[in-house]
Amino acid sequence: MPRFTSETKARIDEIAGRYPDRRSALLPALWVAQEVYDGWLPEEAMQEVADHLGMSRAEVEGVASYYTMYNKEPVGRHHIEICQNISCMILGSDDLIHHCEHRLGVGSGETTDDGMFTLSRVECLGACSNAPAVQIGATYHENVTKERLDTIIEQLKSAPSEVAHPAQAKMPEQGQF
Amino acid sequence: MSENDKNTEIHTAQTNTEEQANAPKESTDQQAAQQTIAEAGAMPASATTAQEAEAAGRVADPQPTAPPVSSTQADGGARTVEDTPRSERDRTPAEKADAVKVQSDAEAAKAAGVEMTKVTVDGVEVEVPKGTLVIEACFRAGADVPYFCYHPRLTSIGACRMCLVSVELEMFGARRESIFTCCTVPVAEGMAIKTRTPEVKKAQNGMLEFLLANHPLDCPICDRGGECPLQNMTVAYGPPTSRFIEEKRHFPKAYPISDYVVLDRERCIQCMRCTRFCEEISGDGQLALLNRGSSTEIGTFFGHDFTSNFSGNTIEICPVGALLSRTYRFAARPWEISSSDSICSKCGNGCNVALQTRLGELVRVNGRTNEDVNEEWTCDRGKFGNYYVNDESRLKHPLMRRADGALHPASWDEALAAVAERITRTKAEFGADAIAGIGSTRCTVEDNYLFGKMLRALVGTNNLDHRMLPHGFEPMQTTIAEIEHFKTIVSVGMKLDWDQPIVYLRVFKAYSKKGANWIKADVVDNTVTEALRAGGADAVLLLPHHLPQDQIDRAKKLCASTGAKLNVLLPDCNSWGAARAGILPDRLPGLTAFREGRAHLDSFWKTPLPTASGLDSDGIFDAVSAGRVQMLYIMGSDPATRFHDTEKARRALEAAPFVVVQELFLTETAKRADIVLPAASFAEKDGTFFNIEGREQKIKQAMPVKGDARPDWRIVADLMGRLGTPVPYFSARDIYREYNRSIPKAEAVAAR
Repeated sequence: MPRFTSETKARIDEIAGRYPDRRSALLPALWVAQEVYDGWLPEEAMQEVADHLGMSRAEVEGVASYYTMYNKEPVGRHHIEICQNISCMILGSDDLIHHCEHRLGVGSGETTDDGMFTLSRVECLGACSNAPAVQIGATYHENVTKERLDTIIEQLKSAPSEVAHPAQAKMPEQGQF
Repeated sequence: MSENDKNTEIHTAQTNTEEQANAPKESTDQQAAQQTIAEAGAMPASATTAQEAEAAGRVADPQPTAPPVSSTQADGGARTVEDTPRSERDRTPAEKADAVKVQSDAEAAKAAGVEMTKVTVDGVEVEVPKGTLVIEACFRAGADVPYFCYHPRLTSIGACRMCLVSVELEMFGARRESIFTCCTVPVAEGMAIKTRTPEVKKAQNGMLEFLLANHPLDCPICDRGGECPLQNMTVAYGPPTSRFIEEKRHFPKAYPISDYVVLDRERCIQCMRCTRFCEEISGDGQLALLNRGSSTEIGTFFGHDFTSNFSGNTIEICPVGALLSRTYRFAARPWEISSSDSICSKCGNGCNVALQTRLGELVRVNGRTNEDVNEEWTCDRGKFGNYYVNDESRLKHPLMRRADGALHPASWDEALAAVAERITRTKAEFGADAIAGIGSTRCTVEDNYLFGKMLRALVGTNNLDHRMLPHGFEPMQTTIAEIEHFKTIVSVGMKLDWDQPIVYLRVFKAYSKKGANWIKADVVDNTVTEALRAGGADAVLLLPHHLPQDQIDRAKKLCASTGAKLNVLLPDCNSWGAARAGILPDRLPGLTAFREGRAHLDSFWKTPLPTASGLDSDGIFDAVSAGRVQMLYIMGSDPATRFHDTEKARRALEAAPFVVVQELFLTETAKRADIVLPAASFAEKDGTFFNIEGREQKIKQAMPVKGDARPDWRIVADLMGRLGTPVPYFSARDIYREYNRSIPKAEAVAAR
């Protein structure tokens, strides 16, 4: 079942219009597709992007599989990405990850049975100054402690899903969590 | 063997080769080694730098004076720099073809007046067209540069990093020298290119070690072994040992990605020749490089079938054994193969191919270079469809219908005597016109010419045709190669990449590389009219021959009015040849009309020919059903399945009192025959095909004839002997010479 609506296509067309060549819009188009397809890129999503941009579908898969931030497996409603790079690691991201694994009952890269959370270890989020950093959906959380992470997870259970999109990344408002 | 033993052994080997031979050059060697690692580090596929260093450290340990990393010893088995270039013999056919292509391109550019640039390669000055790549300048100078990903017909991307050479150039006021991948650098005036310095050798050596880091080295069980560029280059440029002792990456072996192609990702060196071919040449983009880093692999979209009609070419251009043919897999070793230059029999494009056989069986069909026709490509139909010549169900003995009504094996003597006797009897009882012949668009010109001569001169009838459709002939108005220069290309009523694959490649080239407008339509309709009007004289219309005659007529009128060129594309490998050989009721060899050709032929064939036009194939089948034609002689044709009105053909075959069929297989037509004569396939005889453009191309016998079969011309010649004419033909060449002389002078010249 194709999921691209005329509105989705218009969004991709708008992006493609910024480049001399339609295929240049592939990366942002894949972000749009990931949003439309619940946070990950199944075969159909790549097919739709290929069809809409007029590219070979194998090339689309080649690009999508090259970048780790495109999810090739289904993710839960909330995708918790904990930075494991050096600054965060020194400031205890390992502990955070283990804590999170215990709390959610899943290993890194896995999704909880209820489909609520996916936990991932990721490379540098670019928030070293406020390490350790955690990205959930499009939202950055910095200076995260185990306690704060617990609170965040509790609150997320009733929060709407949010799909990461580099163009829409935002910081939590002061005191949001 | 324990770790220590290994180390000692490696170390000893190095001391012998490395230290003694290269001791004075140590510092340069070191630099080169570091450079190699830096170069290679930029390559996405090599995640081995850390492992290299680690391995190097281990090796260096036993010698306390040596620095831990990047010492001369750490450089593994870098071999002594040999200053002898590889001999011609050590190059694969593909490499030779690449060099020839580069040379001819350069000559053509020079002739076309392209600005030339002077560079020196290993001290030899060469002139190359401006913008030429350094690697091509090297080839032009006769230097040997190892390479995998470079291909003269594909965009250069420097994926394999193998073609490292040293380039010295005046830049920013100083003479600078550095090592480059020479397939990505264009020449500049005054460049000094060095391909054989110790630094270059060392860099290439290091690069090969990287490329082999994950390569399984299973050459003994690899089909590519013996004609593998990676194998060749490793012998010529590579290290004798590897420092890589970690587990190599693993993928399923021989993973089928289509009916024809298997993929072995372990062997892949990620040169991206296949992906570039799919993108740039065949345009289907079916293969892509997936994932990244050390997980990089070639694949199709989510494992779907590799459904290109040109997939076989990726096998041929793969510089390792990663893409292999399922039909050729384990069928032969390259050194056991005998190869004959021939022409593909599957369609009218006339691809130049090499038929490769082992022990009398066709094992592989490879493309041959002909810039005017197929460049160097083949389609899958040609590459994998010609194996019918090996088929066990081929007819091996003559068959005769006996008293029980079934076909039984017979000897040639018996069968030919029966045919000759029947021809004589029918002619005596019912007249010559009671005999009719159907020639073949798949037999050679020689076969058809002799068939026509037998029926016209010996039997004395013009009831002769080869057409399965009631259509006329339109010679192509352009050549295949010219199609790529048109700005507007309109193709109607066919799946071009399957029906006319090589024409398709030209069209796609025009469309993708030269910005041509390509319009596809099902029928000649208003879209076509508008496109042609807009295109004017710079447009070409491609039609399949099977389109209804009124459509073709309409297209003809249209093209005449807009100035567009019209190409009606014939279907079979010798469609033109059959017509040219005169297998038509109203045309003599060379497509000569009766009134122009008869006088010449009467004297040339030394017998007066029948004067009136004969029946065409429709007429022949009608006449058989009406009882006017008593004997049907069919050579290499299957009207029971291929005639436009199969019912009519079948009725006629049932009704005919006597049917003779020369065939490869027991076709629907042959099943209805009274005598079936087994014929040799195109791979088993010499001869000539005319492709859709009317280009004369020779086929050559590649394998012994199956069973008792004989070439069609030989069968006809034997029969002619029995009908009372001595047979002067010993080879297809004799017949072709006679065919040429049978055409009145002017025609003979035009036909060449």
